[in-house]
Amino acid sequence: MKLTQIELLEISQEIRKDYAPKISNSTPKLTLMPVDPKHLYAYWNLGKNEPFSLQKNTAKQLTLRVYSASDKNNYLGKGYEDIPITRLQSRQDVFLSIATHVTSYRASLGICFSDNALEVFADSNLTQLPQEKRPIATVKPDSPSGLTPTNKEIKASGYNNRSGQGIKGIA
Amino acid sequence: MKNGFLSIILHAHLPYVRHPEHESFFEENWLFEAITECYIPLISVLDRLQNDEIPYRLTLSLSPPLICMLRDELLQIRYLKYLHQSLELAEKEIIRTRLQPEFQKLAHLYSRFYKKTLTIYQDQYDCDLLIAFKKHHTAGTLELITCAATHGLLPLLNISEIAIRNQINIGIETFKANLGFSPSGFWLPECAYYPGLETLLAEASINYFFVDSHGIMNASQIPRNGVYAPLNCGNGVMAFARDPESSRQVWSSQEGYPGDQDYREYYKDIGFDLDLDYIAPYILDSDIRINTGIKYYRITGKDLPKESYSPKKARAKVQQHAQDFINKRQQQIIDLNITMNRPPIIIAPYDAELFGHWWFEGPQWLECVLRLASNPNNHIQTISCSDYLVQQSGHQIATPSASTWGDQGYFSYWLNETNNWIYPLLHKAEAEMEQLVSDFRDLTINSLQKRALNQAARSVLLAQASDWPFIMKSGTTTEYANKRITDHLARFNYLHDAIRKNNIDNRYLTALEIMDNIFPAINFWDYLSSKKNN
Repeated sequence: MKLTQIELLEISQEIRKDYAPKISNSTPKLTLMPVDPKHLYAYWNLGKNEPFSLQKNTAKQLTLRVYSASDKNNYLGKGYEDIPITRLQSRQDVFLSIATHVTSYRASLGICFSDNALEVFADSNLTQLPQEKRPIATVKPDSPSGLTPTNKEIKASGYNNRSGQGIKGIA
Repeated sequence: MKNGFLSIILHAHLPYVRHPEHESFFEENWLFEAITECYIPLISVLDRLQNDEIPYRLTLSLSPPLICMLRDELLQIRYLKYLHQSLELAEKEIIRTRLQPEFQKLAHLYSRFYKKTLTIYQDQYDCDLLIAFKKHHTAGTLELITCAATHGLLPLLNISEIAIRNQINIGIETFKANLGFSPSGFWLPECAYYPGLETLLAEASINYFFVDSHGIMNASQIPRNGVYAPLNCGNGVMAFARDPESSRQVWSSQEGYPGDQDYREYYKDIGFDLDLDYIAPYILDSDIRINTGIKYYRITGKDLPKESYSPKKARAKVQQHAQDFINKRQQQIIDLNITMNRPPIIIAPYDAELFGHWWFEGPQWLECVLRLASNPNNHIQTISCSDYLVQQSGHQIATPSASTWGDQGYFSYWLNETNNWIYPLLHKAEAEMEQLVSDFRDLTINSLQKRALNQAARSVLLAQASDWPFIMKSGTTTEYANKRITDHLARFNYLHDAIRKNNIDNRYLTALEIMDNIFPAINFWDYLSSKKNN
C-alpha cells in the first residue's frame, strides 16, 4: 500500500490528537526511581476510585513511608522515614537525610494514624541508589571559554550530545 | 616492551529522526551535519592511516538508531540533497567574498571539503558509511561495538527487566544484522550502570562495558588499580572506567583543547551573520536562521572581537595538542607502573560527534594522536578492550556502583522537574506492551496482528530514547522532544487499542510502519517474560 506524505501526516496528527498518552489510574501503584545517592523520585496513583478509608479519614495525613530494603525495621533508627503528601500530589522528590550506607529502598503510600500505623494503599518496587562518591578527581561538565552561545544560537545549533559534558553549549 | 595501553573509544549516536510525512524536516539535519562534519572526516582519517600503514587500534560504538539511519534510503537521498545545497552555498560564498581574500580562501576550503565529502559518500562508499566502518573493522584496526536499541537510560527503565533485556538484545541484533558479526563490547547509554546489569549483558554474550570513573572507584571493593584496570563484575563481564585526566584534557573549559583560541569558532556561522535575503535559501523556511556549517572565525578569546580562522595555525595547534596528550599519557603510564602489578590501560571515551562538529579540528587531532602513539619510542600502545582482555587476565572481582558520565555523575540530568512527567507514561506503555503480548501467548495470531504487535514494540522502544529527556533538560529543542515522546506513546496507545479491540486498520498500520521503520526484524514475542519458541 502506498501512502502520500499528506496521508501520512494526517494519520500522524489524528493519532496524536485521539490517543494522547494519559497517566494510568486503573489500579493503585507506587513507583520509586533512583536519582543520586541521597535522592529518590516517587510517583503514584491511587486507582480509579479513591480508597474508602482515604475518603473516610479526610483529616488524616497521606504519607509516603520510605524503608531501607535491607532492613525494613531499622532505617534511621525508627524503621522508616515519613514524607507527608498532599492529596493532589502524584509525584515527590525524596531527599534522604542520612544513612548513606543504605542503597536499596522500598516505600509504601498510605494514611498515617496517631500511633504511626500506616494503612497502605500501594507498595513500591525495590530501587537501588548509587553509592556516594569516594573522593577522586572528577571531570565536571562545563563549556570551554569563548564558546558560550546565546539562547538563539542554542536553538539553532541542533543536537546537543548526551554526555552532559562540555562544549555542547548547555546554558 | 610496551609499558601501558591507551584505548580511545568514540561513541557515535543520534536519536532516530526520520520524517517521511514531511518534504523536508529540520531535525534530520542533525544526522546530515554529523555525516559531513564527523563520520566522513573520521573515515578519511582511518583511510589515511590505512594507506600509510600506521598500526593503531580504535574503538567505535555505533548506536542502533544511527546504524538504521545510515542504512535508510530516504535519509541517504535527503543527505545528498543537503550536501549539494551546502556545496552550492560554498560556491556562492567564493563569489561573495571576492574582495575579502581571507574569507575567500576559506570559502574555497569549504567548497573543496564538500566536494570531497560527496566523493567519499557517493562514489567511494555508495552512500553506505557502514561499509567504510566495516572495512576498517575487517582490517583489524577498528573495533566496532554497539549500544542499547534506542539509547534508553537503562537504570531509569529498570522497573521492568524485560525492558532492559530488549534494549540490550534488540540493539545487538540490529548491529549483527547490519554489520554481520556480534559485538564484544557494549556501550551503556550515558555510561549509565546499575548493579545487576552485567547479568543481562552476560546473557547477551557481551564481554565488557564502560562506566565513569566513580562507577569503579565506588565499587563493592576498593579497586586495587584504580581506574586503570577493569573489574570483573563476578560473572566474567568486565567493566572499564573512564580516565578522568584524559577526559578533562578534551572536555574541560580550563584545560580542554577544543576551546583553544586558534580553533574554529562553532558559534559564528554565516547562517546568523549574513543578510537574510542572501542566506534565505539555505536556512529554515527561508526566515529562521540556522547553522549552515560555513564559519570564518577562530575562537580568538573571551570578550575579544573574533578574528578570521587560519587553518595553518589551527593545524599547528593540533600537532601541539596531540603531542601534549601523548606526553601526559606517557607520564601517567610511568607513574602508574610504579604501583600497578600489570600494564595500565587508560580508557579515553568521547562522543564521536565532538570530533568535527563541535571541535572542527577534532578528527585531525585524533589522527595525530594515533600516529604519535604508533611510534614505538612513545611506550604507549593503542588497544581495544577486547585485545586487552585477551592479553591480560586475573582481574579483580567487584561490582561497580550505579553511575553515569553525565552532569553530577548520576541520573538527575534525565530525571528532574523538566522531564519527570515522562516516566509514568513510559513505564505504563512498557507494562501494557508486556501484558498485551502475554495475553496473546496461547492465541493464534494473524499477519495483521503480528505486524501491529511488532509496530507497538517499535513505538515503545522509540519513546524510551534517553535523548528526549536530555533535550528537555538542556532546553534546546524541547518542543520537538516533547512531541516525539507523546507521538510514540500515542502511536503505541492507538495500536494497543486496535489490537485489543481486534480493529486494526491496515492503512493506519502501514502509515506507522512507514514513519517508524526502525528495527525491521523486531519480534514482539521478546516482550513475553518467558519467550515463546515460535
